[in-house]
Amino acid sequence: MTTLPQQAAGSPRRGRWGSAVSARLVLGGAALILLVLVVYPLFWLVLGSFGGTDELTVSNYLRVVREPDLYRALLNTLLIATGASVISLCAGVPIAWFISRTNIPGKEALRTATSVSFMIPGFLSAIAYVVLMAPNTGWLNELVERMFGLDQGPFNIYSLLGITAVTSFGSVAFVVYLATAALDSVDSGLEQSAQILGASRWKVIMGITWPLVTPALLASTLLVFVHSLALFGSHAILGLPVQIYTLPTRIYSLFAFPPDYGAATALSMVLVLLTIGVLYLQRRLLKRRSYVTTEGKAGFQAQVDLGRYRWPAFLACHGFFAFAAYLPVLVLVLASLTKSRGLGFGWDNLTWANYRYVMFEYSLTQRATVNTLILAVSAATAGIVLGALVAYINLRLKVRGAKVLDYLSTIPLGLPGVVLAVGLVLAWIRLPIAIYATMWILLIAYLTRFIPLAVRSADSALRQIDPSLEEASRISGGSWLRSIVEITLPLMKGGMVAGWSLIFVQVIGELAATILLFSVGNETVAVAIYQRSEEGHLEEVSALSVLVLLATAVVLGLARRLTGASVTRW
Amino acid sequence: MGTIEVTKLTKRYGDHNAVDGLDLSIEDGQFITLLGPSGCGKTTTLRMLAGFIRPDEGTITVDGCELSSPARVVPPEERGMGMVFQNYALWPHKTVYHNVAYGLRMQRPRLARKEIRARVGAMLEVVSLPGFEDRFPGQLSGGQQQRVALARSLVTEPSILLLDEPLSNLDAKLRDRMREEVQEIQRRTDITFVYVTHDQGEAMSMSDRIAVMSSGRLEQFAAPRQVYHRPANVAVADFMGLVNLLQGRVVSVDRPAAAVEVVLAFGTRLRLGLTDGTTVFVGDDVTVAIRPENVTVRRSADAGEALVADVTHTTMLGHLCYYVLDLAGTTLRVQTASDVELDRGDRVSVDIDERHASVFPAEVDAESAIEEERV
Repeated sequence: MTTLPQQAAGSPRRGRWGSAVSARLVLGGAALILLVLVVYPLFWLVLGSFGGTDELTVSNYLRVVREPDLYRALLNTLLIATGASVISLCAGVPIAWFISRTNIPGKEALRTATSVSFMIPGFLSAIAYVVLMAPNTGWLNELVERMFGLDQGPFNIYSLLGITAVTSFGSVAFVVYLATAALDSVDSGLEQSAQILGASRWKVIMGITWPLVTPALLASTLLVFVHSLALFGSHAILGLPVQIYTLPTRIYSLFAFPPDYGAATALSMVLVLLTIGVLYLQRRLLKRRSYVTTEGKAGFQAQVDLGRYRWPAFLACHGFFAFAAYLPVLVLVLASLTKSRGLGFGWDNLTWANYRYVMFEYSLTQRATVNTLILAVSAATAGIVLGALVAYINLRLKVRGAKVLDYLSTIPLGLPGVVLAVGLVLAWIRLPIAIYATMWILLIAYLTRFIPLAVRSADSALRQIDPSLEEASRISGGSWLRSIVEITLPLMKGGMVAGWSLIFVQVIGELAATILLFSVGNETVAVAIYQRSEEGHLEEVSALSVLVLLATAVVLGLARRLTGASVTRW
Repeated sequence: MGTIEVTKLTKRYGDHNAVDGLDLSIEDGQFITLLGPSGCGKTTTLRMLAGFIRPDEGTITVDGCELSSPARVVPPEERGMGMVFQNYALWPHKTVYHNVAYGLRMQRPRLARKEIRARVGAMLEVVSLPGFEDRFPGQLSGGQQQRVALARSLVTEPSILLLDEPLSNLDAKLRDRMREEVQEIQRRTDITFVYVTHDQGEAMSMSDRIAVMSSGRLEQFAAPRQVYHRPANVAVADFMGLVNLLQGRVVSVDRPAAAVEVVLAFGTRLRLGLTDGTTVFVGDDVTVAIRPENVTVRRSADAGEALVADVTHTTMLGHLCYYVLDLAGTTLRVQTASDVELDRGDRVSVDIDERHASVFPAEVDAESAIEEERV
């Protein structure tokens, strides 16, 4: 009979610090960071809209109702958001159905096209469409003029319709993702049991499938609406030259000298309330009537045979993505390789000069590239660490107040980029420490904007780790910190890498907040692209844009390799 | 050494007392089982022993050292205990070797790498998994994972091992084998085992003593034989296995012999021993608990017996037979060897073994006792 020697009696090992105390310290620290990042600028935004520190007044809000160029901006915003939602719904639902339920050829290609349309920053597709559809100089206009001998081409991207279309191209992915997920989770058994009871194919769709996925479809449409409300880049590039203002671009223009903080903050608050209202509606819709998202696993899917409509369906889907994804990328690549857009296509018009210029010769774009990389790496790293901290506190520490952190971290979802920038300007400009007009203010802005993304990534990674894995480490003698380092973090690695790259990509494409916060010397690539496109240097702008797209693709591709999962699918 | 003293331990969640004034004293080197239906507070108790949960009242003392009180909880990593989790909680990113070696690496002063290697190797021998060092948990069967979990918790030579339903994820055959192995390891190591389960068979076959819990309270703490044959109350009797609960009335009390005479609803008189702590008076309504195996049935060819019943249902289990009888309106469950062949509608005579029946005051009937436990 073997005997294992016994440990000395009554000698529990001593720890370095009490874990309850350290837990509270961590909670306090994270709360402080979130308060500074989120609540502090929001406070100044609200205060500013009511007249600032001197006297409280609602006169700023009255101006929104009375002054035509302020309420017209609101009207335009609502028009564009509604239009984009309708287009996204009409295009997205059939595409989702084809992907989920039919034998359409090349489903992977459709999925990829959806991701591409989603990952192209809005201002880049806007620039591509300027190249394509600007009155007179647009390539498509020239093509049509030449083909039909017209004096003027038919397309004008500088219009409400143009802005709406470009907006919808960037947001159709919301509908495709959510509708595919919803359709995937409806077990075909549900539909087949209706069929066996005698319902026709059409009745099954209208009576079973449709009611089951409706909440998800409506929710995704509202998401498109919110997304469209907040867009800045594409609306600025396509609207400002012809004085079509939306709320974000109007707020931006109110910051031109002399700045009108009163109107800007009041408009910002209107935008925030609109955003929060719609988001609230969307959440309620998903919570209340979600039959499909509760089970979370894909049901059995019977595939509809499209028969001779297979290839027409294929063409229709890719025809849409030609506009939403392929054309913008193609146009940017082509434009970046031409000496001048006006010279037409030919070997003698091809050149690498634009790339050489933006990468090695022009100090603004060089500086902007370095700045962007520094900012993207630091914001992604700090963001995901903060996100992991908040997720950990929320899910693991049994400390009172942990839930509050989670709520705080979702507030930025209701703050469009321009609005956040307004709040940050008001909040930091008055402080004696040099934050405003440095790179720090940009880092703060990015951290705040993308903290919801960071928390969500870390949260879903942490949820997949059973708490008993950490407890097993504790009871084996590992301290609280040791357990996190040895067990939790390694297991969260995949999700955190994915979150990191998502933030990185978002920072590279961030324009809405940056445009109000940058100062000379601290430009980012997005700012450089915007400024140079305003001045009409579309060839070099295209070269920069292609570099941005490349960086995006490379980072997402690497993340996918490292985590073995597509990070662009939510 | 691993003597545990639990005093007035209480844990509340909102208005609900998950553990309610629990007193328990566990001797060194014993195999103790906390037994009860789900929600009875056994797992909460175990997690308080481990230091994962802070008690609202009461203390936990190990070898004279107070480890848990509402004011101070020594964190799990400083308690020197081991724990086996229901889902094993093996770290999927670490090999079997690194899973088992983890606790040794955490020890201060640091152990030499050579010693760690030797002790992990020896431990894997004990759980019959030598040569599995480089496998990942995902590459192991359920039984093998179970052994790794055991090895990981034992390698640091804790004085106390906590086990949270460790066998509930295994299939029936494997469970029987692991049961024996766990018992064997406990005997060899002399570690105090505190084992949580809802399976009374598991509890009875492995434990030195069983603590039956319900609604956060300790119902009985005794050896398996006593818990089964001399349950402290109706709830324990009912939880420890199939039991007939018959209504009766006390007709006489014999205090010196601690015995009573009871007349049952269908007129039978039984002379029954009183359990410690049970007080009844003449005229009291009582519940009499009789296990199915303590009722004998014969074909009533030899009529004239006092008790005659009709067979209403038969269940053949192979080595045993269960019968449901109708005895003048009272339902009686009976267990016999399988060679006693009865059919539905047969008329039988019934004999109740008085020595193995228990009597309880009839304030709580079994139905509501079970209802209470499910909170």
